Amino acid sequence: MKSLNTLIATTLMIAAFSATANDSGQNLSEGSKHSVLAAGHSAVGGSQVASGAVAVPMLMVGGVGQLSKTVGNEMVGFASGQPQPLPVSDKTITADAAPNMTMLEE
Amino acid sequence: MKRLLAVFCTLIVAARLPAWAGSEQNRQAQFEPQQIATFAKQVEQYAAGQGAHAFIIARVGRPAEDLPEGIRFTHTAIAVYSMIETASGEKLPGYAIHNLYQYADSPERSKLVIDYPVDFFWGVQSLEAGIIIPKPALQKRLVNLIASGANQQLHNPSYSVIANPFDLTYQNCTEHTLDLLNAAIYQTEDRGQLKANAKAHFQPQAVAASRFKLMLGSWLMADVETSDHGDQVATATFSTIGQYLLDYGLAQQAVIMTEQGTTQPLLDAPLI
Repeated sequence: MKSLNTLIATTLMIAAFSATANDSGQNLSEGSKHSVLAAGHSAVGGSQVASGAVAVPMLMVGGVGQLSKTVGNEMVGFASGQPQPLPVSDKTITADAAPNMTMLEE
Repeated sequence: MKRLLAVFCTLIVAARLPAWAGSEQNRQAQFEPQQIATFAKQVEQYAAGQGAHAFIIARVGRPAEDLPEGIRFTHTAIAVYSMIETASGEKLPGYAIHNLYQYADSPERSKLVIDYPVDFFWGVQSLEAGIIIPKPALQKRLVNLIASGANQQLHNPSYSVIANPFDLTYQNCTEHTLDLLNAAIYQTEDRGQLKANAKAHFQPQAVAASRFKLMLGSWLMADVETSDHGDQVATATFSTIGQYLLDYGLAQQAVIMTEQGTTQPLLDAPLI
């Protein structure tokens, strides 16, 4: 009886700590996220999904030739001294999967 | 002896440790992927519509009822308007988010990671976003700071979810954000000076949990530390950062955006 009390209490304790100490849950790999997003976008005919590889602050970008045609030929923002609306892509950009997670998909 | 152990264990269970959300990179989605993507794009478009080259962004990673009093958002980062080159070589304008995330297998350690709005909001418990847009001059300094790699220099990989923002022992995502803001404001990367300035001018959030619970947490959870605190445990939060920038006239706006696309002032918003 005493051992049973101890066992029950210890089990409850472990269960309680597990619930609060770890809320990361089941991980969804970045590669899987890209796949479900792409599938979802295809189903509703929405924008495409793209994997972002390198991000450079737009204020650091030199030369309008480097910009996507969707941005246009004018750097908006601080030039006029007043905040101006900035263009953003309609595409959903997601971070690439880590190399080991990418290989798991094969 | 065994009965005493059973009673002790039962008391521990009854203590009900507070839930700490931390800064985790990979979490399972609680909403449909398209719903998350639509919300993330809405946040992006809102910030872009305000002309934000850099803004502070926050998410809700735990159910509101599980969070300590006074804390609404569980992870904070800096979003920077960027030219994003995709894996296919296409160059797209959008926001890259500069995060401090815990290692999944070593939560007491952190790393700096860049992701994008859909990644940032992937595992949230609530589709709402905290958005603080600094004044343009501060935005520009922040962008320069991050572009120069100073965010790496100001990163302390020793992580505590309730890190003391006034010392150098541990660092969480909000303290790192505060450090970057102050580095931009004071134009220095001297960490000692940054801490002195924060102590003089920044008001952290007192953590509403008993010292006993916090101590228990520090024994049992790798990412909860109390050794860097005095009598009062207090930490930086998204809301206190918003208050700090508003108090000193350094914020263009500080809002909460809902899934429906409406915004409300950050500091008037009641906790759910």
